[in-house]
Parts: sequence; structure tokens; C-alpha cells
Amino acid sequence: MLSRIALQIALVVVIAFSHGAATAARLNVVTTTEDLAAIAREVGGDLVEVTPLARGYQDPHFVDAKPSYLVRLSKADLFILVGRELEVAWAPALVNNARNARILPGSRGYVDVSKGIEMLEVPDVVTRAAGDIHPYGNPHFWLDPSNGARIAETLRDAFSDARPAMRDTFAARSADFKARLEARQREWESRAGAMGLRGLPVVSYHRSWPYFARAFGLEVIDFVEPKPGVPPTAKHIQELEARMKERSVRLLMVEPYFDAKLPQKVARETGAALVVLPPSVGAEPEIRTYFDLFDRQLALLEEAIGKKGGS
Amino acid sequence: MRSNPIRAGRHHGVRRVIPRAAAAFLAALALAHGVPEAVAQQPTDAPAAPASGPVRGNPLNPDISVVGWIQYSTEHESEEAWAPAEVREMELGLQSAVDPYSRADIFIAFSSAEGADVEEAYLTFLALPNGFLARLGKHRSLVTRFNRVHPPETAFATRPLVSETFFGEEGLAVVGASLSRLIPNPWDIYVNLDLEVSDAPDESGVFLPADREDLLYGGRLNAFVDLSESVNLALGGALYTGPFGFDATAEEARRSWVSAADVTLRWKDPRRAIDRSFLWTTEALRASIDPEDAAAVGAEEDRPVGFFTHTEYQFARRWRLGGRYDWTEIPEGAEAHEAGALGYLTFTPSEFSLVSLQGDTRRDAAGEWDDRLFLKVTFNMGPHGAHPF
Repeated sequence: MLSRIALQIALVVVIAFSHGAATAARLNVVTTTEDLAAIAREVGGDLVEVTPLARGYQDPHFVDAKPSYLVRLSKADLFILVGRELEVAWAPALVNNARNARILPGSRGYVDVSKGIEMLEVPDVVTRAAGDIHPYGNPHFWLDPSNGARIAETLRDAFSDARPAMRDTFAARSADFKARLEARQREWESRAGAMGLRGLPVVSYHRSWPYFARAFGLEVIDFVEPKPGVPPTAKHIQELEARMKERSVRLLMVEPYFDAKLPQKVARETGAALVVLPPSVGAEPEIRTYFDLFDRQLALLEEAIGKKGGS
Repeated sequence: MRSNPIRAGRHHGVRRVIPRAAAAFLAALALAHGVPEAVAQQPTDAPAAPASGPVRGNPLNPDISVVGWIQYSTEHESEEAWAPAEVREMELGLQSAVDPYSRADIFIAFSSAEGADVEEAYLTFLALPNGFLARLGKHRSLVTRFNRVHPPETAFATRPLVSETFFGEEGLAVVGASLSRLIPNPWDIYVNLDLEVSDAPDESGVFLPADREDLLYGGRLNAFVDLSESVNLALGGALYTGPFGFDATAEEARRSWVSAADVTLRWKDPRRAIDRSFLWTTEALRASIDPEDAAAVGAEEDRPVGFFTHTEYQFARRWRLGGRYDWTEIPEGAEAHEAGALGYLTFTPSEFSLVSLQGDTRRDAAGEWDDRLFLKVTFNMGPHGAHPF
């Protein structure tokens, strides 16, 4: 009996220690967004423990720098951010108060995935008179699937630096992700062409979609916001509606975190279809992976165009 | 008149320095810790250098920002001198990483009434060994949540009575050092302990300089918990002690003990974070001050208390409605007390400016009422700073 108890205790101890060792070996990764978390899981697999801060249904510009995030950041091996000032209103305050030298700017654990990305909409003149602009270019670049592959390569390198022994595993997973993404991208592009997205004039609420538009051929002709971060005025809405009618705009795309009342009115006035388009993984419960994001976006656009086509 | 601790300190010749041993110790700790995985790819918080686009000035210059506060006021039944329109404050901020171990934050306040004043100037060691964070220099004391907020960035045109009465018209700013650490706990919730040592402030209702050795010591424990995705609760408590002038009879420094408690409840649906939010916060303070002549018959400690409670509802993207109620006893005021209330409607044209119409009524210790209206206008220039939380 005693030997059986001793065996059970020994088993518990072994499991506890082996679990501890496995946990210690896993990279503790905190990402600012769920998109980065999804790609990090693709590249890192079981070797990383990934925690996103902002949810996919949140406006990533307006996330509260809650102290509860500091607890997660204080233990992080890597802090991964979109960069280009997307998170400028909340991430620096968190990193500077996390008491974690591994993730301070300038350290290996501070991973800005915008490196190596070809930026769109880099302003020639930087002034707040142009609204809440991003001086280093539009940061919504994860919405082009080809940038997803580049982000994965950045994460592969960051994970490999942190866990050199796992370099080959991260490289293999990143290559596999890239191959799957390229295959799916061809499908998505074909689907976008079939539904008539190429050259389709659309209007969006915020300037979230230039990379998505470039990937799938949409032409974003105007915005509900007169300037980035500035709520629309009645005059701007009048001008927008006139322009939408003039260009026969059939789609009005709104991010889920904006109040849809005004876009609904604009859509009614102009005859465009309003589509609430998820801009991130996690924006809807069924969007769990980076692949799900584009599947869902194209399905929603297809549905909206189909409705307008049938009406 | 607004207090000006630095100038007042020089005037009285009470210029003190941060204990040099403490500064040297903290610097040594940081150096011993080594360069944090010394890669130094990005010496500041700036993003990766863009492939193309604007590059202006020296990229190693600190971030420069200005917060402006212009205020218009009207009043009734008051003989107090009060400018109907004034530049309440223009706050110049200079912020940058200093090296891989630390960053510096300097805020200089300019006002039409007071001229220039160093509001804060401190060096922060961001990641000392064992999870410590240290701050050296002049900073707003951590004694309460409200006290940490720079005056232009509060929601109000006037400070809560308890803050004015206990800590002076600009709040409690001290020159010293603080040490901070997250406290591990089984629930993995945010619990933080701050310890602070500093000079005693020159102008405050509950602390007064005595002699060179009499410093202000304090600690603050605060916790934050997410009750749900949309609701969170912050709790804080602090205990500070410092000199309160001299007991002339005993020829020794009188001491004052100040305890503080605050609670803040927030609601903000992350799906509609830019359109709707609600905040309720309350802060209470209690002081215990040695009697002026402890040897006198019947001498008792003075124990003033005070509090304010504030609520704010954001009912549209650009609009907020708020109110505050104040009540406080006056230190050494023989149980006299003041009360007041303030209400406001704030319009924010953008993230970088606001216009707030505010009404304030106060009853002073003599029972006289004073009503005022304010138009508070603030604006931010420079790099995008952190959203207040």
C-alpha cells in the first residue's frame, strides 16, 4: 500500500516537474492584436503561449491601457506589435510600465512586424490638420494576405532568436504557413474576380482597407470620416452621397466598432449595400484563424453584392 | 494664487536633493542588470524607420508636445480676485529614452499667473532587477489617483476641494524617489506597491517643511480587476507621513499622517469603445496632525477628513456629461468644513482638443456660497500621447 502511495506521489511530482519544464520552454508571447496572435500560433505552434491584448472587435486605435495587461506583459518573452503608430495611444504606456527589460523598445523581445512591409499612404506632409494621421504610413497592412506571410517571417526570426534550438521548427512552420497562404490567396483572388470586386468602387468608414483593396482589386473612392479619426459632418455626408451616386458606388464598408446608424442612412440614400466587414481575427466568433478572416470577408462581400445584384 | 513649490523652496532656502546614496544605488542596480538583451535596434519608442516618407529633424531628439489650457470664467457673490480669461497653463513636454535602462520625462508649465515652473522632471529606471521600477526627480506624488493627473488633463475646471485643501491648488508635487513593484498573487490580478520618499512640500495643507532631515515618506497599494470584459474596478490605498512645521514648545518637528483611499469603476463596451463609457470614482483623505503644543493641557491631534465623488457618462462619440461633489474639513480649521459641486458638459471635436462648459458652486467655511461658470478649452500638440486611463 505504502509503495503504491509512494509511486503515485512520485508520478505527481514527475508530471508537475515535466509540466513546469514544458511551460518554461514555451515562449510567452503577448501580441497587441488577435491577427498577430493568429499568425504567431501558426508559426510557433505548441512552442509558444500567445496572449493577445486587444480583441478583434475593438478599434485597435482606442484600446484602454488597462493595468491588468501589465501582469501579462511583465512575464512576456516577446511583445509583438503591428507598429507604425497603430497602437501609439496605449502600447508604449504598457511596455514602459511592465517592469520587463526583455520587451522594452530596442530589445530583442520588442517585435515590430511592420519592418519589411511596403507601406501605403505614407503622408508627404505630416500635420494634425489632416486628422489623426499615421506619419509612417497606413498600419492596417495585415489585411493583405501577402503581408501575412511577411509577418510570419518576422515572427519566425524573432522566435528563433529567442529559442535558437527550435529554429528549424519555426522555419518549417513558417514555410508551411506561407505555402498554405499563397494557395488560399490564389483561391481568394479568383473568388474576388468572380464576384466582380476588381475595379469595384466602394466607400469605407475609416481608412482601414487600402491593403485589402490592393489585394483584391477594390477601388476605395471615399470615406465616411472626412479625415482619419474625425467624425463626419452633415456637409461631408452630403458631398459623400453625391459622389457615391455619381460613381454608382454599390458597397459601403463599415468596421464593426463604428456606430452603423449614419452609414445605414448613407446606404439608404445612395442605394449602396452596407456591409459590416470584420477587420481582424476575433471580430466574429467564427473567425479564429488568419485564413478564416479572408474567408469571412469575401463571403460577406459576396453576400452584399449578391443582394444588390438581385435587387 | 497657484502654489509654486520650486520657487517657494528657493525663496525659503529650503533646497534639498534626492538622497545621493539612493540615486547611486539605483543606477548601480540598473548597470548591474546589464543592457536588456542589448541590441539597441531602436533607441526610442519610435516605430521602425519607414521605407519612405517624412523624416524631419534629428530622430534622436525627444518627443516634444504641448498641452494648452485656456479658461474663461464668470462669478457671482465673490470678492475673490479671479481673471475672467486666462491662459491657465501651457504644458511643454519633453520625453525620450535616455539609454537602454531609463527614460526621462520633463514637463514645464507656463501660465499667465505664475510664469514658468517645472511641473515634473524625472528619470525612470524601467526594468530594475526583480521587477522593480524606480523614479527619481520631481513628480506628482502617487498619494491618490487624482493627484497624479496633470491639471490640464483632469476633467475639471477646478480641483476638488479636498485636493486643494490638503495638497494645495496644484496638488502634491514632490522632489524625491519612488520605487514600484507588481505584487505576485495567486489570482494573477494587478496589485502594485509604490514606495516614495521626498522632500516635504513647501505649500500644502497637511505637510509643511520643518528641517532638512524631515522627509515625506509614503506608500501606496493599488489593485485593478476586470469584473467583465466591459467593467473594471480599481482600488487604492495610501499612507504618507511628513513634517508639519515645529512644535515651538517642544522644539521638535510636528508630524502629519495622511491616509487615502480611492475607488474607480469603469464601464466601456470594447465593441463601442469610442461612443459610450461610464466612470465613477471617489477619493477620501484623512489627516492626523500633531497638536501645535503637545505639552499643553487638552492638546489633541487635528484630524480633518474630506472626499470627492465624480461620475461621467459619455453619451456620444464627442460628448460627455459629468458631475462632482466635494466635502472637506479644513486642516487646523477647528472642524470647519467646505462643500461644493461641479457639473460639466464636454465636447471633443477630436482626440486632440476639447471644449467644456462647467458650473461650480462652493460653500466656504463661513457658510458663504460662491457660484461660477467656466469655459475650459484644452488642446494637444505634438506626437500622439497615451490615452488617459
